[in-house]
Amino acid sequence: MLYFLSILLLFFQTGAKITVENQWIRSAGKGMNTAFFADVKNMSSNADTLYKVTSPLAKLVQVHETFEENGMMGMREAGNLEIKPGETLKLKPRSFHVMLIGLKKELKRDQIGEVTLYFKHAGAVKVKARVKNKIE
Amino acid sequence: MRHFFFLLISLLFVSCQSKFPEKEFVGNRSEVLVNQDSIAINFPKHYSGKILLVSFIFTNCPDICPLTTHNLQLIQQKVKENKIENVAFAAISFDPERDTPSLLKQYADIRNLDLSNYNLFTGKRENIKSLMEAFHIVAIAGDTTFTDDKEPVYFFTHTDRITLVDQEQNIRKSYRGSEINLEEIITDIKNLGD
Repeated sequence: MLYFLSILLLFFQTGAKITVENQWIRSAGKGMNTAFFADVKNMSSNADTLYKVTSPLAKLVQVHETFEENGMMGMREAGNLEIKPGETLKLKPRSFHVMLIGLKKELKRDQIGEVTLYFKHAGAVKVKARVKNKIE
Repeated sequence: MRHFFFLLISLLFVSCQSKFPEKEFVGNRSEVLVNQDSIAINFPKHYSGKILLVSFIFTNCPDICPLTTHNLQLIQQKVKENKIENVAFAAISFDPERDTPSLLKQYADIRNLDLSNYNLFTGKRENIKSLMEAFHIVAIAGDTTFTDDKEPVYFFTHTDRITLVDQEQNIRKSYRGSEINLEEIITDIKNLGD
Protein backbone atom coordinates (compact mmCIF):
# COMPACT_ATOMS: atom_id res chain seq x y z
CA MET A 1 0.00 0.00 0.00
CA LEU A 2 2.83 2.37 0.97
CA TYR A 3 4.60 1.49 -2.27
CA PHE A 4 1.43 2.25 -4.25
CA LEU A 5 1.04 5.61 -2.48
CA SER A 6 4.67 6.51 -3.18
CA ILE A 7 4.22 5.76 -6.87
CA LEU A 8 1.01 7.83 -6.88
CA LEU A 9 2.76 10.75 -5.15
CA LEU A 10 5.66 10.55 -7.60
CA PHE A 11 3.19 10.60 -10.49
CA PHE A 12 1.50 13.76 -9.21
CA GLN A 13 4.83 15.46 -8.50
CA THR A 14 6.15 14.83 -11.99
CA GLY A 15 2.75 15.82 -13.36
CA ALA A 16 3.05 19.26 -11.79
CA LYS A 17 6.54 20.39 -12.60
CA ILE A 18 7.40 24.06 -12.75
CA THR A 19 10.84 25.37 -13.61
CA VAL A 20 12.03 28.90 -12.91
CA GLU A 21 14.89 30.30 -14.97
CA ASN A 22 16.65 33.61 -15.63
CA GLN A 23 15.40 34.99 -12.34
CA TRP A 24 16.69 38.34 -11.07
CA ILE A 25 15.73 41.16 -8.76
CA ARG A 26 16.27 44.83 -9.57
CA SER A 27 18.48 46.65 -7.05
CA ALA A 28 16.77 49.11 -4.69
CA GLY A 29 17.21 50.77 -1.31
CA LYS A 30 15.78 49.78 2.06
CA GLY A 31 12.14 50.79 2.36
CA MET A 32 11.78 51.15 -1.43
CA ASN A 33 9.92 48.98 -3.90
CA THR A 34 11.38 46.78 -6.57
CA ALA A 35 10.54 43.82 -8.78
CA PHE A 36 11.41 40.16 -9.30
CA PHE A 37 11.60 38.85 -12.86
CA ALA A 38 11.88 35.28 -14.21
CA ASP A 39 10.82 32.80 -16.87
CA VAL A 40 8.34 30.40 -15.27
CA LYS A 41 7.83 27.30 -17.37
CA ASN A 42 5.11 24.74 -16.90
CA MET A 43 6.76 21.41 -17.78
CA SER A 44 3.73 19.31 -16.89
CA SER A 45 0.91 18.09 -19.09
CA ASN A 46 -1.70 20.10 -17.19
CA ALA A 47 -2.30 23.82 -16.83
CA ASP A 48 -1.13 25.32 -13.56
CA THR A 49 -1.84 28.64 -11.88
CA LEU A 50 0.45 31.05 -10.04
CA TYR A 51 -1.73 32.42 -7.25
CA LYS A 52 0.63 33.83 -4.64
CA VAL A 53 4.23 34.93 -4.13
CA THR A 54 6.05 35.51 -0.84
CA SER A 55 9.51 36.75 0.06
CA PRO A 56 11.33 37.57 3.29
CA LEU A 57 12.83 40.57 1.46
CA ALA A 58 9.72 42.73 1.52
CA LYS A 59 6.80 43.76 3.71
CA LEU A 60 4.30 43.11 0.94
CA VAL A 61 4.57 40.97 -2.19
CA GLN A 62 2.14 41.16 -5.10
CA VAL A 63 2.04 40.07 -8.73
CA HIS A 64 1.58 43.15 -10.89
CA GLU A 65 1.09 43.93 -14.53
CA THR A 66 2.48 47.04 -16.22
CA PHE A 67 -0.01 48.51 -18.68
CA GLU A 68 -0.11 51.33 -21.20
CA GLU A 69 -3.20 53.48 -21.52
CA ASN A 70 -3.59 56.76 -23.42
CA GLY A 71 0.17 57.07 -23.73
CA MET A 72 0.71 56.62 -20.00
CA MET A 73 2.23 53.74 -18.12
CA GLY A 74 0.73 52.28 -14.98
CA MET A 75 0.59 49.16 -12.86
CA ARG A 76 -2.24 47.08 -11.53
CA GLU A 77 -2.38 43.97 -9.42
CA ALA A 78 -2.70 40.90 -11.61
CA GLY A 79 -5.08 38.13 -10.67
CA ASN A 80 -4.13 34.46 -10.77
CA LEU A 81 -1.91 33.71 -13.75
CA GLU A 82 -2.59 30.46 -15.60
CA ILE A 83 0.30 28.78 -17.40
CA LYS A 84 -0.72 26.26 -20.05
CA PRO A 85 1.23 22.97 -20.43
CA GLY A 86 4.61 23.57 -22.04
CA GLU A 87 4.18 27.35 -21.93
CA THR A 88 6.33 29.96 -20.18
CA LEU A 89 5.08 32.86 -18.12
CA LYS A 90 7.54 35.69 -18.70
CA LEU A 91 7.85 37.89 -15.65
CA LYS A 92 9.71 40.79 -17.27
CA PRO A 93 10.08 44.57 -17.32
CA ARG A 94 7.09 46.42 -18.84
CA SER A 95 4.92 43.33 -18.33
CA PHE A 96 3.94 40.95 -15.52
CA HIS A 97 6.34 41.08 -12.57
CA VAL A 98 6.47 40.31 -8.86
CA MET A 99 6.37 43.48 -6.79
CA LEU A 100 8.53 43.55 -3.66
CA ILE A 101 6.99 46.41 -1.71
CA GLY A 102 8.76 48.02 1.24
CA LEU A 103 12.16 46.30 1.16
CA LYS A 104 13.37 45.23 4.61
CA LYS A 105 16.99 45.78 3.58
CA GLU A 106 18.95 47.36 0.78
CA LEU A 107 19.35 45.13 -2.27
CA LYS A 108 22.62 45.82 -4.02
CA ARG A 109 24.08 44.27 -7.14
CA ASP A 110 25.16 40.60 -6.79
CA GLN A 111 23.33 39.99 -3.53
CA ILE A 112 21.04 36.96 -3.48
CA GLY A 113 17.39 37.13 -2.50
CA GLU A 114 14.78 34.42 -1.97
CA VAL A 115 11.30 34.36 -3.47
CA THR A 116 8.66 31.62 -3.22
CA LEU A 117 6.05 31.17 -5.94
CA TYR A 118 2.89 29.23 -5.13
CA PHE A 119 1.08 27.16 -7.76
CA LYS A 120 -2.27 25.39 -7.50
CA HIS A 121 -0.79 22.06 -8.59
CA ALA A 122 2.98 22.31 -8.23
CA GLY A 123 2.74 23.88 -4.78
CA ALA A 124 5.50 26.09 -3.43
CA VAL A 125 8.55 26.69 -5.63
CA LYS A 126 11.34 28.47 -3.78
CA VAL A 127 13.98 30.22 -5.88
CA LYS A 128 17.08 32.27 -5.23
CA ALA A 129 17.65 35.28 -7.46
CA ARG A 130 20.63 37.55 -8.04
CA VAL A 131 20.24 41.30 -7.64
CA LYS A 132 21.09 43.28 -10.76
CA ASN A 133 21.21 46.96 -11.62
CA LYS A 134 19.68 46.49 -15.01
CA ILE A 135 19.06 43.87 -17.67
CA GLU A 136 22.51 42.25 -17.85
CA MET B 1 22.72 80.16 -60.28
CA ARG B 2 20.69 82.30 -57.87
CA HIS B 3 17.82 79.79 -58.17
CA PHE B 4 20.20 76.96 -57.37
CA PHE B 5 21.33 78.62 -54.13
CA PHE B 6 17.74 79.38 -53.19
CA LEU B 7 16.85 75.71 -53.73
CA LEU B 8 19.87 74.55 -51.71
CA ILE B 9 19.03 76.81 -48.76
CA SER B 10 15.36 75.73 -48.89
CA LEU B 11 16.37 72.06 -48.88
CA LEU B 12 18.71 72.63 -45.95
CA PHE B 13 15.94 74.42 -44.05
CA VAL B 14 13.41 71.64 -44.71
CA SER B 15 15.98 69.00 -43.75
CA CYS B 16 16.71 70.69 -40.38
CA GLN B 17 13.02 71.12 -39.68
CA SER B 18 12.24 67.45 -40.38
CA LYS B 19 14.97 66.29 -37.98
CA PHE B 20 13.29 68.20 -35.17
CA PRO B 21 9.61 68.79 -35.81
CA GLU B 22 9.11 70.18 -32.29
CA LYS B 23 10.29 73.59 -31.11
CA GLU B 24 8.71 74.72 -27.89
CA PHE B 25 10.44 77.26 -25.67
CA VAL B 26 10.61 76.24 -21.99
CA GLY B 27 13.26 78.75 -20.90
CA ASN B 28 10.52 81.10 -19.72
CA ARG B 29 10.00 78.75 -16.75
CA SER B 30 12.50 79.04 -13.96
CA GLU B 31 11.65 76.86 -11.01
CA VAL B 32 13.81 76.20 -7.98
CA LEU B 33 14.73 72.53 -7.70
CA VAL B 34 17.05 70.76 -5.26
CA ASN B 35 19.39 67.99 -6.37
CA GLN B 36 20.58 64.80 -4.65
CA ASP B 37 23.25 66.83 -2.80
CA SER B 38 20.67 69.40 -1.59
CA ILE B 39 22.04 72.02 -4.00
CA ALA B 40 19.34 74.38 -5.30
CA ILE B 41 19.28 75.48 -8.93
CA ASN B 42 16.86 77.27 -11.26
CA PHE B 43 15.45 74.83 -13.77
CA PRO B 44 15.82 74.84 -16.75
CA LYS B 45 17.73 78.17 -16.71
CA HIS B 46 20.71 76.45 -15.02
CA TYR B 47 21.20 74.39 -18.21
CA SER B 48 21.05 77.28 -20.71
CA GLY B 49 23.66 76.70 -23.42
CA LYS B 50 23.67 72.93 -22.90
CA ILE B 51 21.85 70.10 -24.61
CA LEU B 52 19.64 68.58 -21.93
CA LEU B 53 17.83 65.27 -21.62
CA VAL B 54 15.04 65.34 -19.07
CA SER B 55 12.93 62.62 -17.51
CA PHE B 56 10.28 62.69 -14.78
CA ILE B 57 10.30 59.77 -12.34
CA PHE B 58 9.42 58.63 -8.81
CA THR B 59 11.89 56.50 -6.88
CA ASN B 60 9.26 54.07 -5.54
CA CYS B 61 8.46 53.06 -9.11
CA PRO B 62 9.51 49.42 -9.53
CA ASP B 63 9.41 49.02 -13.30
CA ILE B 64 9.13 51.95 -15.73
CA CYS B 65 11.19 54.65 -13.94
CA PRO B 66 14.21 52.38 -13.28
CA LEU B 67 14.18 51.55 -17.01
CA THR B 68 14.08 55.26 -17.89
CA THR B 69 16.85 55.97 -15.37
CA HIS B 70 18.91 53.17 -16.89
CA ASN B 71 18.26 54.44 -20.41
CA LEU B 72 19.50 57.93 -19.49
CA GLN B 73 22.57 56.17 -18.10
CA LEU B 74 23.06 54.37 -21.45
CA ILE B 75 22.72 57.67 -23.36
CA GLN B 76 25.19 59.29 -20.95
CA GLN B 77 27.72 56.48 -21.54
CA LYS B 78 27.32 56.70 -25.33
CA VAL B 79 27.68 60.49 -25.27
CA LYS B 80 30.94 60.05 -23.34
CA GLU B 81 32.20 57.36 -25.75
CA ASN B 82 31.45 59.68 -28.68
CA LYS B 83 33.25 62.54 -26.91
CA ILE B 84 30.20 64.79 -27.29
CA GLU B 85 30.47 67.69 -24.87
CA ASN B 86 27.97 70.09 -23.40
CA VAL B 87 25.27 67.50 -22.68
CA ALA B 88 23.49 67.18 -19.32
CA PHE B 89 20.93 64.81 -17.85
CA ALA B 90 18.14 65.51 -15.37
CA ALA B 91 15.57 63.30 -13.67
CA ILE B 92 12.86 65.23 -11.80
CA SER B 93 10.69 63.51 -9.19
CA PHE B 94 6.93 63.99 -9.43
CA ASP B 95 6.67 62.52 -5.92
CA PRO B 96 8.60 65.27 -4.05
CA GLU B 97 6.99 64.61 -0.66
CA ARG B 98 8.61 61.16 -0.53
CA ASP B 99 11.64 61.77 -2.76
CA THR B 100 13.93 63.77 -0.49
CA PRO B 101 17.48 64.67 -1.61
CA SER B 102 18.93 61.88 0.56
CA LEU B 103 16.57 59.34 -1.02
CA LEU B 104 17.56 60.56 -4.49
CA LYS B 105 21.20 60.15 -3.46
CA GLN B 106 20.54 56.59 -2.31
CA TYR B 107 18.67 55.88 -5.59
CA ALA B 108 21.69 57.16 -7.56
CA ASP B 109 24.27 55.29 -5.45
CA ILE B 110 22.53 51.93 -5.76
CA ARG B 111 22.46 52.29 -9.54
CA ASN B 112 26.06 53.56 -9.77
CA LEU B 113 24.90 56.68 -11.59
CA ASP B 114 27.69 58.93 -12.83
CA LEU B 115 26.57 62.22 -11.31
CA SER B 116 29.15 64.36 -13.12
CA ASN B 117 26.50 65.62 -15.55
CA TYR B 118 23.41 63.70 -14.33
CA ASN B 119 21.29 65.16 -11.54
CA LEU B 120 18.19 63.94 -9.78
CA PHE B 121 15.87 66.67 -8.57
CA THR B 122 13.11 67.21 -6.07
CA GLY B 123 11.47 70.43 -4.93
CA LYS B 124 8.28 72.12 -3.92
CA ARG B 125 5.12 70.59 -5.35
CA GLU B 126 4.08 73.85 -7.13
CA ASN B 127 7.47 74.21 -8.83
CA ILE B 128 7.42 70.64 -10.07
CA LYS B 129 3.81 71.02 -11.22
CA SER B 130 4.83 74.04 -13.33
CA LEU B 131 7.64 72.05 -14.98
CA MET B 132 5.37 69.06 -15.58
CA GLU B 133 2.99 71.37 -17.44
CA ALA B 134 5.85 72.80 -19.50
CA PHE B 135 7.11 69.33 -20.39
CA HIS B 136 3.60 67.85 -20.88
CA ILE B 137 4.00 65.27 -18.14
CA VAL B 138 1.03 63.75 -16.34
CA ALA B 139 1.26 61.64 -13.17
CA ILE B 140 -1.85 60.38 -11.43
CA ALA B 141 -1.54 58.72 -8.02
CA GLY B 142 -3.44 55.45 -7.70
CA ASP B 143 -5.32 54.11 -4.70
CA THR B 144 -3.36 53.80 -1.48
CA THR B 145 -3.04 50.40 0.20
CA PHE B 146 -1.16 49.67 3.42
CA THR B 147 1.47 47.18 4.52
CA ASP B 148 0.91 45.15 7.71
CA ASP B 149 2.69 47.84 9.70
CA LYS B 150 0.33 50.50 8.26
CA GLU B 151 2.79 52.07 5.83
CA PRO B 152 1.00 53.60 2.85
CA VAL B 153 1.72 52.15 -0.57
CA TYR B 154 0.74 54.01 -3.72
CA PHE B 155 1.93 54.19 -7.28
CA PHE B 156 1.48 56.55 -10.20
CA THR B 157 0.18 56.10 -13.69
CA HIS B 158 2.43 58.47 -15.59
CA THR B 159 3.86 59.71 -18.85
CA ASP B 160 6.80 57.60 -19.98
CA ARG B 161 9.13 60.10 -21.62
CA ILE B 162 12.62 61.43 -22.15
CA THR B 163 12.67 64.97 -23.57
CA LEU B 164 15.47 66.52 -25.61
CA VAL B 165 16.02 70.25 -24.96
CA ASP B 166 18.38 72.33 -27.10
CA GLN B 167 20.95 74.91 -26.03
CA GLU B 168 18.36 77.71 -26.37
CA GLN B 169 15.99 75.86 -24.04
CA ASN B 170 13.53 74.66 -26.66
CA ILE B 171 11.98 71.21 -26.47
CA ARG B 172 13.07 69.61 -29.74
CA LYS B 173 12.00 65.98 -29.46
CA SER B 174 10.38 63.50 -27.08
CA TYR B 175 11.10 59.79 -26.81
CA ARG B 176 9.59 56.95 -24.85
CA GLY B 177 11.57 56.70 -21.62
CA SER B 178 11.46 53.01 -20.78
CA GLU B 179 12.32 51.78 -24.30
CA ILE B 180 14.73 53.74 -26.44
CA ASN B 181 16.46 53.70 -29.78
CA LEU B 182 19.91 54.70 -28.56
CA GLU B 183 21.31 55.45 -32.02
CA GLU B 184 18.40 57.76 -32.85
CA ILE B 185 18.95 59.79 -29.69
CA ILE B 186 22.71 60.01 -30.18
CA THR B 187 22.19 61.15 -33.79
CA ASP B 188 19.74 63.82 -32.57
CA ILE B 189 22.20 65.03 -29.92
CA LYS B 190 24.94 65.24 -32.57
CA ASN B 191 22.65 67.17 -34.90
CA LEU B 192 21.85 69.68 -32.17
CA GLY B 193 25.55 70.04 -31.41
CA ASP B 194 26.46 70.80 -35.04
